[in-house]
Amino acid sequence: MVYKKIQNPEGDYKDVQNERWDVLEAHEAWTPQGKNVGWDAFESLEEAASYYGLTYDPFIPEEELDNQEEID
Amino acid sequence: MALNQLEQSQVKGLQEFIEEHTEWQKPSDWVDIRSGALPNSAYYLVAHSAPTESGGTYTVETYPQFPILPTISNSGTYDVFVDGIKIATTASATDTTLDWGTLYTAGTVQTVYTTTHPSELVYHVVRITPTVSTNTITALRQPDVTSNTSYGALWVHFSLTNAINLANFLGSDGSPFYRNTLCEAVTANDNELKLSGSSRALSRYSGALKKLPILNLEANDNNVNFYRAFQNSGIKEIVFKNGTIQQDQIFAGSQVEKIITENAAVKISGRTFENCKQLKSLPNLTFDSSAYLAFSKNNSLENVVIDASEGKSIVNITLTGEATDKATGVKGLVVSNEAPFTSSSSPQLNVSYTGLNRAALVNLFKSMPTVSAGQVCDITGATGVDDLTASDIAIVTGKGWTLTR
Repeated sequence: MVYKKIQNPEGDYKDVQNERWDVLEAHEAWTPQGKNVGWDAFESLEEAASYYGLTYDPFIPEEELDNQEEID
Repeated sequence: MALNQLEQSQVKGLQEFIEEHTEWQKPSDWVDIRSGALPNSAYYLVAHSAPTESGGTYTVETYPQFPILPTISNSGTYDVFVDGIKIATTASATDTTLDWGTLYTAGTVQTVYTTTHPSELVYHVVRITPTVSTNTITALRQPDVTSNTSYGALWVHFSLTNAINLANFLGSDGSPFYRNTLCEAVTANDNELKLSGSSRALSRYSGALKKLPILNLEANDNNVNFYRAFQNSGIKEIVFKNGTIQQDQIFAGSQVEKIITENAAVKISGRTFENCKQLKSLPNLTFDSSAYLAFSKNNSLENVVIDASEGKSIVNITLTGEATDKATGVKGLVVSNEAPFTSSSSPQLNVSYTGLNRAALVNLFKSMPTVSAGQVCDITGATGVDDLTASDIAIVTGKGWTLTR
């Protein structure tokens, strides 16, 4: 699998500066520059996140903070 | 004798036909609040468990209270009748709470009606009407609560000619929340109800609701607030008339199977249809200034092709199934070649685990705009993903996209 970290204020991963990121995962990534260019190969999402220095911290939109029992 | 495969499919088809064409049937031991309904009134059939008496004091264990919070035009007062007896006159936008134990103890109400459906319950006919007949009920809801609460509405009937705001009508805003899980039907004279608002109207509602009237939007076209109006509700069919519906998460998580539009359209906004797992077809859609198009987990859609070519403001499209339950009925998508796809969330275009075959994927690629910020299009698990050729892929990478699978 290949992975890439993308900065996203609503991403589910945080770095040590508390900046938020997404970690994209794919079997292969066809980029304008070629196959998997700019993507990194790892065994798992967890390994990729660890390499990128990110911890999993799901983003909860402001509007849903008061609606934690939304799903019955 | 076991049915063979052909017979099983025929029986299934007949069952689906019956379900589709059977109107809601009023249970036989429910009073028909449509019959003889007085004008300018809202009626509830409200249930609770049979009261128990001790030392002259009555208590009700299940659904012990039923609050009502109407708004009356011209700040007028409203009258509350229970089983034909007026028990309160209250100011507009002030709630009247029917505490059944208290009412029984005072001798104000007594048991007139009982039902075995949905279970052994006592019920009352509650009628709300403006005290001054020239005033109207402009809004009807229940008040916010301090803990999660359930109420015993079985059926609501509107005998109105004016438009009404039903925000927080049977489901509530925020947390804690309330809901009326027994309610099977909302009806209206001539099967049509004019709406001026409905934010969270049935939100968190679940299970029993089978019947809604046609919802007429003409009183406030394009401005009727439908934010989360039917979120997580059990209603299976909704009919809109004369207007455009738009808000985030209108139907998200609901059991809706069919949305019918009569001179109306649903404008996609955010997660309008997210997780509508029973939705079989899409209503008339518009995109106009829509920024997000979210159709995730709509795995029951059948032979749906979405033409979002008028969506020139779209920044993100999520049109996905699930790895274990593909949205195979999602057969196609085309987008506007002017859409910016600039959302910070990646992938900016996601059609993973859908039924898009090679031809549909190529059609999508050809419709996509040229981008310059490393946008990602995810086609993982789409039907045609393994059939794409290098030149097919080059269509989209040549426009600056990264294609993942």
